[in-house]
Amino acid sequence: MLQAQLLNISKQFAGAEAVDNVSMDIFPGEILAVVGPSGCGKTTLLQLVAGLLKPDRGSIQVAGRTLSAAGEVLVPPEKRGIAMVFQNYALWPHYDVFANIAYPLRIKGYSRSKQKQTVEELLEAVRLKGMEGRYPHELSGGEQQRVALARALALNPLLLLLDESLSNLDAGLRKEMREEIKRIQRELSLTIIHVTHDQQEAMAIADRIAVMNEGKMVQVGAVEEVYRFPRTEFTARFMGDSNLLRLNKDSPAEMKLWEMARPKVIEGGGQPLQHTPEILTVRSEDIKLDDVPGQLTGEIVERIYHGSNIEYRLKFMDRILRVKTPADKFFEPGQQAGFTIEKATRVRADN
Amino acid sequence: MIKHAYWSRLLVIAAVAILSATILYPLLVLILFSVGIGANGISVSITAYQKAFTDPKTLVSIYNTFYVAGAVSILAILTGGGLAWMLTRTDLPGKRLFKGLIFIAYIIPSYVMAVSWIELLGRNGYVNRLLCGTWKWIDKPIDIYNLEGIILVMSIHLFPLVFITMSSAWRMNDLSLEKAARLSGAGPIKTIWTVSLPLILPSVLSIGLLIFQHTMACFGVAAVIALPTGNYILTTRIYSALNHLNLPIATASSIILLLCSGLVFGIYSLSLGKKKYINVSSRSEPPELHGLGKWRIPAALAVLAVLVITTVIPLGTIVVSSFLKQWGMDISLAGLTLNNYQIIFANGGMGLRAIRNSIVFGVAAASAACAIGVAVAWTVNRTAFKGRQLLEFTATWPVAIPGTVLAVAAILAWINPPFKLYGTPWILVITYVAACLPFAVRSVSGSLQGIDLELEHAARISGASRWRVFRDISLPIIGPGLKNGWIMSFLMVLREIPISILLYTAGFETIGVLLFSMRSDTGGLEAVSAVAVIIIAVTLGGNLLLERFGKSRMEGI
Repeated sequence: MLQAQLLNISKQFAGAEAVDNVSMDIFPGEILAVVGPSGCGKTTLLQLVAGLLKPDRGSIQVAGRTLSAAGEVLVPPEKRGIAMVFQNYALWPHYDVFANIAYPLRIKGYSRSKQKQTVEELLEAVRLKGMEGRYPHELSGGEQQRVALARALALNPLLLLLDESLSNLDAGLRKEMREEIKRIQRELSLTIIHVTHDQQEAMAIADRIAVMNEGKMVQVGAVEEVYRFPRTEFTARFMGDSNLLRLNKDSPAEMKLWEMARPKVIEGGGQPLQHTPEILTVRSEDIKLDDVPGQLTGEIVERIYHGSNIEYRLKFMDRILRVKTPADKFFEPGQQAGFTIEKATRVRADN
Repeated sequence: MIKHAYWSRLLVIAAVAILSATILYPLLVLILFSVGIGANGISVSITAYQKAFTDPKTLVSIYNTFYVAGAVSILAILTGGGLAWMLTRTDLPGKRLFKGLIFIAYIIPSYVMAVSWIELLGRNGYVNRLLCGTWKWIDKPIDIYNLEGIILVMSIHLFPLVFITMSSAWRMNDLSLEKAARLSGAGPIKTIWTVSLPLILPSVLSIGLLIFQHTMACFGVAAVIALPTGNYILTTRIYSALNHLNLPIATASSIILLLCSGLVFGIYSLSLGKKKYINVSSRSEPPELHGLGKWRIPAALAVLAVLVITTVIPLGTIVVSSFLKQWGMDISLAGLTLNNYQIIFANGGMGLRAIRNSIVFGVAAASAACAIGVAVAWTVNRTAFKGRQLLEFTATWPVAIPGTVLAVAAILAWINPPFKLYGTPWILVITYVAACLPFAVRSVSGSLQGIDLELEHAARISGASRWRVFRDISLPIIGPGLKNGWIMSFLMVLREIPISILLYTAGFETIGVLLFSMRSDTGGLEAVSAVAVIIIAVTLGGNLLLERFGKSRMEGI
């Protein structure tokens, strides 16, 4: 059973494909993170799901009901049973916390006492008890976020959409809210589509990840799978620090590295790629550094200390490699270091 | 955009219909009339323009219009800009007092300002009585009944507008640019000359154009100061041509004034859109103030003197004169009376009726303009309707049309069947609506643009229909802007002169008519002063309300 399904959705803005033939399944009770650089069409996709935009082609189903199809919004946003938390929270400035959260209930025609009871429960769930009388501008960013979340949860949505909802919070608060959303999601077994440009955040919060680029869905899969087995050059670049190696006859360094990496290729993430030319990607943590010169030797040119790990720039002939090591592996810039490639994956070249 | 509900289409149609009736139709009739269509058959002719351009009075009035507008622009910029610099960028003492005085000058209607200067510099004016009579410093009284009189009054009336714009321009100027100039080796004077002034020049030119256009459109001041001595500007030329039933001159002059005013206003709008240097930094750092040193006190005294002469003395004159038993009497306790006010408020008198009419018309026109304003602003900002830019343009361009021209167009449009509204109060209300629309549309549009679309989306997703979103979310949020637009419109109607004078009918006099006609009828200056005091009080109240609405609890949006 699918909670939601997008079939061949396309949407044009001013002649450009903002969303280009996207299909996607969303399972009940999962958090699906849609990631991609800004302008990749992910927010447009969310608005299509919400019914705020109408698709040019394709259909959208939620809980077995077709909401949009063949260029029409069949069910208007207010009748979809879908909730959304906006990037800027979109709290109504003329309503206090209670009125903001109770608004969907009021529209539904709940009695005053029922509204009160539900809002109280929701405030407890988002840990904002006693804040009913505050106005949005009297709240901190994190509190506004919680109110927006409570409002979205008020009607037990079939699907909760989060539009870059954590992007405006500072790092500490973002982590806290991420855990908070996960907790609430588990407790209420919510189905969530979370849109973000931050792949770290996506990996931390989601069960599955959908990578978008230039309106197209590039790869959908479990978090580990997408991280470990990127299928395209773009995903490899976007999902983490990767060294891309091409079979490039003009660069002896790249040829050498490619040959070293080829035997280390691991397969996974569905069927093997048919595409040639083949590009190999080696994650920065999959290169091992050694004090003594080895089969391959490079020069450390830069060290960036991250606390839990250290990032190096390693120069091999005319090529700079990104290498990540545990924090106890210490090398000085200028030092020669042997290195070995431990793992590599194959990806498809973009375009 | 979601598929339009049919009421949203209805809204567009209503907006287009009302704009056509109040603005487009009268102007079209005016233009057609000026080229001979409608008067006697359908033969296009340029006779009206030939007459206008061979009529010496009209030619002189065109020249005078530009002379007066140019002089007022320069004077207002020098006074307003200089005061703005002193009050925002120097350590001048007494800033609060000075700002208060400028605010008072800002709210005194121009016509009232003209009356007070007549009371001061007229043939039997207080100053002339002192200078000629008591002190015998001069032989001949100073004469205010000329073009320079208009320049004096309009400069005083408009310099606060320059002050407000230039103050914010001086404040917005990024101080780090000046600091960078200082660090590059420029002295304070050189910094002002090479960095600060060039940066502020675009603002100076824009506001100059606006002042120019405002002055071209002025009617009341010119009518009371220069018309009696036969000194015409275009607005008063149109008025007297109408009075002599010289329609060709009236229509041709109206079109000439409309074109000049539209052209200047067009350049002004372009200059706003294309400002090359905008340094709107949202820094909270208070501007670094230039020390005036030993000039601090003399400068403050000079500013005080200017503001006392331009604001305190005229205001005081009006108030004192309003209690005089008879104009021309010496000011002493025995000569004071409340009689002037009693006459205004006397039952069945024209005073009370005019005030009541103005309030009724003001409420009607402001409310109608705001309702249309919401429809237009909504269509422009929230729908995909194809002609929405044109709609907004149509609704806002009356701001560039002098009231006199609007009134002439209304007369021609509504004087004949089937739309015979001339002679009824409706013609007044419709024309007021046209004049108010720009304020209403701007205010609503401004606050509507300020609403994040997400707020409306959030409400829809919460289950609200389009109409409920509008009622529950959009309307309350644009509320303050709407109130501002309403009060501005209402005050405009209350103080309006040319439209009222040209379009009123007996029984439906307004405050403007009362003020204008009192000079020649009964009462005289002391009664006019009493009406003026009432208008100033109402305007002051209105502006205080505006201030309060400006600071709503939703400041954080």
